[in-house]
Amino acid sequence: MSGIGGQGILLATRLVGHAAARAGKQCLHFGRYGGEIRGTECECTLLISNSASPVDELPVTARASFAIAMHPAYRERVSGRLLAGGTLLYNSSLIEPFAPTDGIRVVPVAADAAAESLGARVGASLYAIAYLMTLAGLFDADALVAGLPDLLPPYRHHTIPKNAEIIHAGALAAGEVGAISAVARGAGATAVGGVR
Amino acid sequence: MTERLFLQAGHAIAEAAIRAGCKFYSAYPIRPSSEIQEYMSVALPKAGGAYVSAASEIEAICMVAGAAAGGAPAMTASSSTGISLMQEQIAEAAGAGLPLVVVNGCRFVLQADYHQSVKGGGHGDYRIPVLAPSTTQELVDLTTRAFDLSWQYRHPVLLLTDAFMLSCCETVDLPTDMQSRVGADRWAITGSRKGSPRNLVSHVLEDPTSSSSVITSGNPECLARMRAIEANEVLVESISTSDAEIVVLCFGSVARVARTAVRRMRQAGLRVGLLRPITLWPFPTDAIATLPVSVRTLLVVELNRGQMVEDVRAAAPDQVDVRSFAGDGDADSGFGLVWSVDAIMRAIEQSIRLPV
Repeated sequence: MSGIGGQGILLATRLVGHAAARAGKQCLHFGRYGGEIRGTECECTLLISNSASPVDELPVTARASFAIAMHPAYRERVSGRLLAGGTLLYNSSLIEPFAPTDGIRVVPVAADAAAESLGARVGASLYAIAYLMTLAGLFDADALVAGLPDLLPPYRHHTIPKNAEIIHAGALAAGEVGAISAVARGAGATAVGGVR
Repeated sequence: MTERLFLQAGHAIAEAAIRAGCKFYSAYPIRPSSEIQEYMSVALPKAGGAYVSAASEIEAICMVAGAAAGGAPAMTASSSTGISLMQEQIAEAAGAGLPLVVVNGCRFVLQADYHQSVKGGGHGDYRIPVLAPSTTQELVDLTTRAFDLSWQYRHPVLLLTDAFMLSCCETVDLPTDMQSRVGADRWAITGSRKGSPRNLVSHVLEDPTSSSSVITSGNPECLARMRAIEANEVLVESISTSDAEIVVLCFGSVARVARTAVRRMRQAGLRVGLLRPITLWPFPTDAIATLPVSVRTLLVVELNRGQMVEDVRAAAPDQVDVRSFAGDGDADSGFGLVWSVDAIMRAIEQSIRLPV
């Protein structure tokens, strides 16, 4: 998952890691960030394993099954690292429609607009991650929301209800589209969940 | 008993330290070690300890040494340049017999601080145990061990980590019980009371209760501690070395990747093994010197310009060819600061093809 600003990307991906740990899976998360508060890229990667032993791989995988691009500046780099048959969710509020690479599924989601309509544009990353997790059938909204108290510092706990609302909205929107396995058939790029 | 949590690596170190009995923490913020300080600033006071934000690394290590002299299990963390600033006091603490734990989150290049850590970056004739975790779980386990070692021997212990592992979050199993080191500090300076022994913690002042002169005999107490640590505290991980022809030697983050590389090459039928020093000092010299006769090549893989390879060359039998694969990592690793699995496999294949 890649974007700018930073904290939203970190929180969204760590919520998935938290949900995976609660589900008894091994999880390895890596965050690459630096001057993101001034608008540079924040990129987080997540490996989830069903194995009982810790993941013996690099957390920054060169080829991923799923990816989320939140900002146009880094969309190309993220989509270039997807496995054949992989899924790219992109933030269509900021990223213009593009011609996807063969074999990559693209899912345009107006995450900024959706979060803004709920009163908190900074929740766009949460909307996007909930959308993708639901679409992929990996974790439902409640599993993601469960991590908020642990991952947010106490002085941010007043944001939990709004964050939970955004996560549920993202999951609900994805549920209306249907799971990836049901819609993404056939060769080449397949767009689901919105207008390309 | 343990509990499984999904923790940021720095937070995992801090929580493990608290559960290992840490009662004092001071540091000056520096990436990638700042998350340890962030967590300690909130959690340590809640656990009955004291946290002090320092104005410099020198101030931090001096406060930690002072707390240790007063009998408080104490820790600090910094990164590379900050650890350089702390070296004078670490050397003093080794001489004075102070149990304190120092965490180095090595910056870029990720294993450039091997010599600084292992050879004793400060003054005088001393070494301190250096523990080199390779996973977040080992950050937890070896933090606990660092406190155990430092208190068992009354000696500083260094945990050598890096920016790669400290930027991870991972599932870890933490001990649920809190350790207490109350009663283990009878040597500490805790104030004079009627009938209490007169304690002295110093590496330069002569202890009137000691049979030897500290100044004139070159600190025999410190020497005795180091010899005991060397004899008893070597840790090494060995994978598939019993029939190997080539053995990969690596530590820390590199080992996480190298395990996968070795496993894949074994599956391809190549007789490859892995030897990982978990303690960089004391160095597992015997484990290297007594490798099976089938081993013809040792490939030392590092993320620096080749530092540990010097210790491997000193330990290896004469008939074994020692090769170095060292540098800053490769782009295939995803972000260019570590070696990828493919890069290590290529280095192993190249070593097999080269004439001995």
